[in-house]
Amino acid sequence: MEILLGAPACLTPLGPDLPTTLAAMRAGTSALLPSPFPGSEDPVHIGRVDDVWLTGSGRRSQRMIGRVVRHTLPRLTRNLRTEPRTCFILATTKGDVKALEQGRPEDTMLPVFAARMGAAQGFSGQPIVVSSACISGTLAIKLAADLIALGEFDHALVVGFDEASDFVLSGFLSLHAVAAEGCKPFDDARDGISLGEASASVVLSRDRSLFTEGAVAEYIGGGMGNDANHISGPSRIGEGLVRAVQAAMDSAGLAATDIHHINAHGTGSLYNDGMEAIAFGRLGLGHAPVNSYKGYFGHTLGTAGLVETLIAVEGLRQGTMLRSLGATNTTAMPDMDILRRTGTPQETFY
Amino acid sequence: MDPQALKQQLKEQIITQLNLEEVKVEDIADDKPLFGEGLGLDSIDALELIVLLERHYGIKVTDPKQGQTIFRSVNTMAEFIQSQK
Amino acid sequence: MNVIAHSRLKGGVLSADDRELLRAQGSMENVFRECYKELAMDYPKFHKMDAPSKLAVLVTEPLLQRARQEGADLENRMGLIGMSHCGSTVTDEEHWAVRTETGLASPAVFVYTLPNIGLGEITIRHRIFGSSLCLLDHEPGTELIQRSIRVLHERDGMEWIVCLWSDIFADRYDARAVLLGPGPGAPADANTLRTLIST
Repeated sequence: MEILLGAPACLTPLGPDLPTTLAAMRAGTSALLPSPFPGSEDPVHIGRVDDVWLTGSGRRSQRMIGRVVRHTLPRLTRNLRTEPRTCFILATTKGDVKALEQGRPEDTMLPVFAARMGAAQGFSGQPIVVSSACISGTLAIKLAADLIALGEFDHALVVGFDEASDFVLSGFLSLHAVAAEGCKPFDDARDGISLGEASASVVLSRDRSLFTEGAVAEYIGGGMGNDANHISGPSRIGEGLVRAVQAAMDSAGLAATDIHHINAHGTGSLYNDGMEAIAFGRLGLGHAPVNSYKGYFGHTLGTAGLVETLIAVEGLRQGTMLRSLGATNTTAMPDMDILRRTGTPQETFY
Repeated sequence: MDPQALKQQLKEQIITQLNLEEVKVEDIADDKPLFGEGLGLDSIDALELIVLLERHYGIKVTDPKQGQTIFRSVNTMAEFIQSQK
Repeated sequence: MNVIAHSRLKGGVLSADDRELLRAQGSMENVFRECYKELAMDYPKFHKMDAPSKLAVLVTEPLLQRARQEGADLENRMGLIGMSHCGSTVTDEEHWAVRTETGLASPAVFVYTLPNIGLGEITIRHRIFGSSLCLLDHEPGTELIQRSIRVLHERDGMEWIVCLWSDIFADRYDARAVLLGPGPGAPADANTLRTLIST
């Protein structure tokens, strides 16, 4: 059975929609800008979504989600709000955690946040909430595809959201995990992450005629694995990632030599990026050009996997692989083909 | 502060701050390694000790790598705190 | 898949397969400490966990010990489903209180401010590398549980699954878990799951 993705939309620190975001990335623009942070002597580089792109009233979180859902739904031939056998999945780590900063912990509970989001977007029923840290967005795509493949649903609206908050930033600062300037994924001198924020949405369906502009991609496989190593540090041998990628390739019936591009997590932290390099080596994927988008707009947490998948797909549709912004010196990872220039697959060979 | 009193206080603070439920003050010899074979602390504990230094002693450690020498044992921690005065 | 075993921790009582393993008095922290001793876990890391992780680890411990006895391949064929309403809210509040009261966040608290960390602690303790799902919902509804089981079993090839509902807010806690697998037991249908997890 064919499972298709279509009507992608995103709101990122680089733009109010997917085409604007991608154009800025092709031009090599970074949205990571120094911003003062209470308790930190130096400004911290953060990727923030400009409020002028948000319309309407209500919580900023709901307006960020509303923006992408309103981009996605009109590009369908049927009204997903009333279409039977449709599921609504939200991927997020912290939802509206700013409500906690404002003294309302009950409002931060993710089922409460998701119920409000569903109602605000005109859906009945409780959305499914996936909250598995940084893999939430990717896992939500896989869950949607699995549920459709199993015949539980015919269509799925997948939304990702996370906001840059003092809550999260203060925590990463206490872990000494934040880059001094904008993050530099896969660079020898990488020194930590930069926090970003984004929302994104996409529809998965077994029905090609649902998409007015056609499908943008087909889901052909997915996998996941646990590191079972440490709650905040990645396995030094990339065990969870190796298992996840192998399962994805196996389920798609692909071998390592079939893979021509990897959009990696590439957070800019010393251990994460090193772990990914080791994992790709173990998987025999050293030949595949790799990039990370974190240097463009930061780590968008639970929505990262979703927004980055949509950007990667749109880029490839335009025949472009984006350079891994911030990766200037990559001598420490000689076995990995880190994209140092943006262009067509032919142009990026050098 | 008297060095012995400081070390005693550090041991109590380490146990409380790091939730070392099964460890008592007398289990931590002044020169016992805090990491690895000794108390078996991990990287998050090291970061927590950096916060401990700032919160209780007003000392800022900006590079976590420095922790490897400062937090070798209660002795080295106490020496570091005294050297910062 | 069949229900091989089930467990519950609520109101100071830890039970497995309707057999009371422990009845403890006092604070939540005290109850968790007593459970830890009763289960003979010998796992000092336990004391560093936040309360939601302790709850998740404790209620699943008898089930994973049982799975090991049954010869389950925990490393490759054990799937985990973790569901909750409050997620990490109590720890989120603690992180934010420390950050605002002292001006400095605590790294050891912050690393627990995610709803899936309890599942992570279970995978670390039992060396489980397979698939896991962390879902947040108002209640442990059988429909979502059954769908999740199908995903892990039919799509990801997990032969064994531990499905967990655990919730903590303020000093109230409630956790229930079931072990599903290929052995003899009641089929994991809606009625069985409703009895063991949803009510």
